[in-house]
Amino acid sequence: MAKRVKQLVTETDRLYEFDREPVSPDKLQSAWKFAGLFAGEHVAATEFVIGAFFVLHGVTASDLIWGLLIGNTLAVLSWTLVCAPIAVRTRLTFYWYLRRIAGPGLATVYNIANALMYCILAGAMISVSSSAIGGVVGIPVPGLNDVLPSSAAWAVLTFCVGMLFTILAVLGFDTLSRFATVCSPWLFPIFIAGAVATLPRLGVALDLSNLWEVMNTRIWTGVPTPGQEPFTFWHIAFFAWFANLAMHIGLSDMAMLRYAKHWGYGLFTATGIYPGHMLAWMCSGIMVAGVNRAMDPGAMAFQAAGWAGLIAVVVAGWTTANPTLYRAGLALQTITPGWPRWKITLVAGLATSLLACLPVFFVKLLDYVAIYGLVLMPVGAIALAEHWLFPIFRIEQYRAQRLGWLFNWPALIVWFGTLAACAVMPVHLFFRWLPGWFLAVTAYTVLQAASQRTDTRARVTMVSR
Amino acid sequence: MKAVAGVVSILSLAVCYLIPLLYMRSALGLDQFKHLLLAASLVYFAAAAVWAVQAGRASRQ
Repeated sequence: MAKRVKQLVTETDRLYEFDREPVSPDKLQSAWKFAGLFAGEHVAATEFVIGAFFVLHGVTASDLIWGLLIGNTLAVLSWTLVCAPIAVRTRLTFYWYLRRIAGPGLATVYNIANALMYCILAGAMISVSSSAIGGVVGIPVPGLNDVLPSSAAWAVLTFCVGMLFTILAVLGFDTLSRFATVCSPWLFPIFIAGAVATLPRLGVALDLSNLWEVMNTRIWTGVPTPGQEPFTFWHIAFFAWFANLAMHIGLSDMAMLRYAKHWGYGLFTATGIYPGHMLAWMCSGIMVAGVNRAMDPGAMAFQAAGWAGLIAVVVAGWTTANPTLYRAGLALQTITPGWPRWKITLVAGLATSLLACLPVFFVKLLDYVAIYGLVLMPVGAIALAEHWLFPIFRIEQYRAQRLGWLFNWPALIVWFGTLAACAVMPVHLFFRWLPGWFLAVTAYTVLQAASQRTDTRARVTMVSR
Repeated sequence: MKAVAGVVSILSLAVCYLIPLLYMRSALGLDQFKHLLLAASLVYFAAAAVWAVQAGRASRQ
């Protein structure tokens, strides 16, 4: 078993070999590059669903706007004050930094867990694209409470769309990924166009004089759709904050921010967050109100923006599933040494396509996003404690590296212990990560301090003998 | 070729942004709005595809 784990670790290390060294000063990027890099992010297929779900959950217009403003600001501050300072100080990717803290075995487990979560997310994106194609060929989207495929036709369609995306990824990743990258800027005007075209249908006057009234009476009415729990300001604020939890509090974006000249560059995430997680969500909310709250991204985009809207839903699903399949393939490569890249991408795509057939990940997307962030959050908390708190409390940093541990057991206990505690917390799923984060930081610091004290005492006893 | 494709894609993207504004000012009907948006989008895709192929060739050389 230990031999197998060591082999896995060797394969993972080889995979990330190219970014093992800290970024050298000549490779640091300008502020403009960061602004541009982040501006293209956060406009994905899931935006068509998330904003629409807020309408179905009956949030009011003022709760939505304030919730998104505050939640997204907290997200930007999390990138700036939590992720960027560690990235700038270490200049390492999170994988290599975690390897120093938690041992190579735990870093590999984290990597595989991340890949599985990515596969499910890509599956949800494939489902969104399928809804657009299903609308054209007359296959209805699953209901809001469906867990299993509502019809064989839906399952076949989703699987075929997933495999089409996979084959495209297998055939020519470089060119297609470049094409996918340039599609992102096009998606945003389609969101705007769709919302603008829907407004007159909802009764908004040309001079927008009654916009606020229509927003409150026809779109974000405060009345949830039957079967959906009501959302408040707090649900929206927390959702906007944790929508990218794995990236900021979970420190995944150290991979990008390690190229920043200053930790303040974390503020540039605002260039992507506010258009994507505020305007795009509001636009999809307006579009779903235009189709009487029917949760069918394809139908709502087609109704709002015509064929361009329909293409946008398919392209948004593809452009976001494509890099996700690549990342999942990379992580899977560690457990399938010697396999060529096409074969791994094909397997990752096959698994993702099968997951996409289950509508639960699409119709429960908000919950899944919460769980995705929650699962990886404790690992970020552990890294933060080791980086900032250990020097303050005079606890030795990077013991796992010095002692050559394969697994840092206190870290593993804290990771799974935090998840167990979060699972039983008597609060809404959206609010569990925050107490969980404090719990993880405190528990890891206390455990490591106790373990160090025990070691020191044992050493003193040995020396005195 | 790559530069031309880049310029065309930026221009068509600007048109995609402009179309909703024209619609809001009643300069376009709903059908015109949808057709123009599709046309501008297809031009954008064509230019972006050419750019992606050219960029791929350039990076391989």
